[in-house]
Amino acid sequence: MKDGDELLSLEMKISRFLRWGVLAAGAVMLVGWVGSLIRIHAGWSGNPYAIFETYHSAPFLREIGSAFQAGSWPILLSYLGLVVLIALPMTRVFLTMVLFFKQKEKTLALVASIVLFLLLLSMGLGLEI
Amino acid sequence: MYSLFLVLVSVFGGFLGSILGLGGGIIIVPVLTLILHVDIRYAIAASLISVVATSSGAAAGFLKDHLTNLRLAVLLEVGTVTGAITGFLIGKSVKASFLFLLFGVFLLLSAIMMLKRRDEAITTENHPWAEKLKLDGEYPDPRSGAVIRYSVANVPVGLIAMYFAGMLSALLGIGSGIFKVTAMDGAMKLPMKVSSATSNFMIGVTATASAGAYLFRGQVKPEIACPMALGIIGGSWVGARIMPHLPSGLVRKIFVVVLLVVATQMIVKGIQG
Repeated sequence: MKDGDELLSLEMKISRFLRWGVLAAGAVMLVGWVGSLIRIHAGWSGNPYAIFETYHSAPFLREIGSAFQAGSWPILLSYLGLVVLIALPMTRVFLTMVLFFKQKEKTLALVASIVLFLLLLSMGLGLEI
Repeated sequence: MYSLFLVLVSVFGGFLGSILGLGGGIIIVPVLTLILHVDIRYAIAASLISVVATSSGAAAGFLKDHLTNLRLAVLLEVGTVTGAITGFLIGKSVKASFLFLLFGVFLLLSAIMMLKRRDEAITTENHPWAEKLKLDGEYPDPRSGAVIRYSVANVPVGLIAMYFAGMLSALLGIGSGIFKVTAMDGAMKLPMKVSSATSNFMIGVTATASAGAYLFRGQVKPEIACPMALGIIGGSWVGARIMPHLPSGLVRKIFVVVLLVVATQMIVKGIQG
């Protein structure tokens, strides 16, 4: 098997894993969303999106903390699904980097590690600690 | 009722997106903002989550046909992700009215590009960076079965174009595949099928950079993003299976008219502030 074919075959395995990851994240989000719906519609039939008509900043960690304190498991599950989803492409870049290293493709491994670093940097910028 | 409406629109968006080769965000962002009156910044962040979901789920399909240039994708992701970070940072200080205007102009450009025929100009000469990183490749022609070899030109120009595509992706909540493909076809002289497959493969990583940043900033609201992502995943799954049996040319022409109407509404809303 040629190096390129081997790389493609391994990348295929990673991509299939990602497909399952998307399904898992989707399942968690579905449970969270249905849970939220039950809470929202229990006794109120207005527009649940009306609160999003104006933008106001509410950092992720604070939102998680509030949901945790309020025992709002649907919101926590929804956030978990979203975090898993975001982690999937990052995992792909990480595994691609490992593959390039194993194949002694140092330059491309370095390039993949730069992409991974930039992804982590973007998350850090979002956290604004 | 509103939630069901959002799911149905997302299913439709994912369905149409997979038939036309576009991300669902192009449909969902206008629906969220113009019909449900959700702030465009929430709509953009939710749309990026859908882009991540659909592209991660479809990555295996893109690789299976041997059209994706994996080595080139990794290199170009440096450009798209850097652009996405810039877009995220710019987005912090940009007014909502400007985003409406920019989205409207993007829809107009998309409509024009959908009508334009893509020209293929394959090169046999590698750019020095392409030579060093062995970015050239080959793919099997599905009609003749012959192996078609191609080289990669103008790598730095391609990287710069990817930077701007990434920036637009973060600012507007789109995959910006149209711009990536145009740069790969035009500047880098890749075969159209390779450009499309490689662009689709990269979209998830590009969107992750800004989607992750928006999530941690608190701009991704699960009440919007979750039903939207679920609807788009379902819709694109159905669309991919029905696509071979649909007259995509006719759908494309109808969609161009819809795009022009929506673009006008977005621009008007942007001007009105």
